[in-house]
Amino acid sequence: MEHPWAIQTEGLTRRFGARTALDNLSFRIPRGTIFGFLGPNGAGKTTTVRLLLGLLRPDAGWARIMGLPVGTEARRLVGVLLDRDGLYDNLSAWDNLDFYGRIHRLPSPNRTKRIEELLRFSGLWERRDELVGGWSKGMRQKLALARALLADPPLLILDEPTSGLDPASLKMVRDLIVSLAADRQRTIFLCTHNLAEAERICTQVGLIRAGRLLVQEEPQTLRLRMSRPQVIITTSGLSREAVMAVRRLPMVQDLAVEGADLTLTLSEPAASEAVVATLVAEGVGVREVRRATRSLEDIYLELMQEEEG
Amino acid sequence: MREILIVTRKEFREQLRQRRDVLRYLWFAVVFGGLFPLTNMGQSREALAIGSLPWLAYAGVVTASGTTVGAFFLERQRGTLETLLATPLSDLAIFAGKVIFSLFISLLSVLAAVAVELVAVNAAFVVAPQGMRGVAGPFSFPPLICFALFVTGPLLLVYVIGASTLISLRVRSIRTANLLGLLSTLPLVVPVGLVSLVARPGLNWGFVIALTGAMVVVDAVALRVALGLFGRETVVLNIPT
Repeated sequence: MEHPWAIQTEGLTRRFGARTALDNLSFRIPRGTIFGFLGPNGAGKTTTVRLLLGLLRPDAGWARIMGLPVGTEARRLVGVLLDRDGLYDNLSAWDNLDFYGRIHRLPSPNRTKRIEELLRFSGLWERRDELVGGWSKGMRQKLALARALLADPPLLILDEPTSGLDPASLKMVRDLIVSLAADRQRTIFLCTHNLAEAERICTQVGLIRAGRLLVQEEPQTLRLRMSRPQVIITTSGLSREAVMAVRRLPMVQDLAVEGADLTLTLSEPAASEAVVATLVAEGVGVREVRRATRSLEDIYLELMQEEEG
Repeated sequence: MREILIVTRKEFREQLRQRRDVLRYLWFAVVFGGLFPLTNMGQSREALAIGSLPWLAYAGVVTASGTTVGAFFLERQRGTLETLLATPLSDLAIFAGKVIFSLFISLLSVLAAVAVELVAVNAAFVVAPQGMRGVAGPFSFPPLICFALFVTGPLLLVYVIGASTLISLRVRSIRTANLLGLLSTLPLVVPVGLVSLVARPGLNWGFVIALTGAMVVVDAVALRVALGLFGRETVVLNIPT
């Protein structure tokens, strides 16, 4: 039976001298998930990736990849794109992929076919015999991604895969990530600083700070859970008295006025009806009432500030 | 073994594409195999063969140091080593693949230097037969010299590769790596100097075999320490930026 978790860690801890880079990190990522691993620089993202790949040993705790303990066999199941692309400048695009194809024991005819398929897909086929040393960051990133996909691994660990890409390539990579997870139940562990990207493509996100996992949830659930009820009311004929009347309502926790728009943070979602009634009683026209949504970025910043506080 | 050869093959394809390095190794063969022996043409054939031994070995030593720094330090510096370590390859396969490449290229360098010496000395002898004392006939290396070159010599090269690997895994700049790599060859002055000074005019089998045995022990220690340092964690924590 297939192991249900693509990645599983329990109490993973790693110290560098007196500094604790990872502190008792425990999480489980189900197969087929696009997991966005978010956090500021120095939060412990790279250390986590290195522990998952067996490049570092934990001081405490353990990690498993597809049910296997971290090590040689687990590494066969992982395609990797680290923060540095790891391409050989003095090898051609073809030779770079061929080398990794051999490492992953792809038999010769399949290897050739697979390399051609990936180079064509990445739009690099015409340049396959060029040394990659002179390539742009975007082209290198595409080739490094092709290398990660070479052995068709069930788990991809990608560190900032879209950094340095032009908008067209960025879209291509983003679509590719989504299709990879959807088509083949592939799991993608995505380290990124790009919160909008994470919000758009990730089915789960984990926020890490100072080596501790603050939260692991679906972006939608996280937004709902972390958002206090907030409404934006577009008015006509808004007066100072009406604003004062609304401010006095007990369920209004915060109020901001911007032109004809009132942005209110309420103690409960249903309280918007009382606000509208108060405005109407004050002779203000109510043109639109809509619920304000908080972005993942807002929540991320709030969590980071809370943690700092 | 298959994994080791995959790494060795990659090193060949990568490093031999750098024309400047290849030309440099050929230049060592010309200098150490041709120019230095020709300056000692006034000696007997045997003395010339023994006297050129250190130079021929040094062609390999300098090449071994350069290729090892290229194989280990540059891969660390360019960030390719971390990606390579994230593959199913074992530490030993990566290490051995690189060592075999360096050993092979430095042995080729010694062979090239030997070929250059044979051609240069014989050509000089044809042009000026009175320039060398001793019996008539073409200049060649006696069996003892061949043993010293092709059995003891590779062991010297393995020591250099081990020492250069250690240096390449610790230092943080290519200049330091190259400099220390060359400095690490200095201890070789002792055995090589002994061969050329103590044994002259007659190099004996007993001495060469004793030296060979000593080098086996030195190599075992150098490779053991270098491999010990080549663990994934040690390498990753020492990646230069």
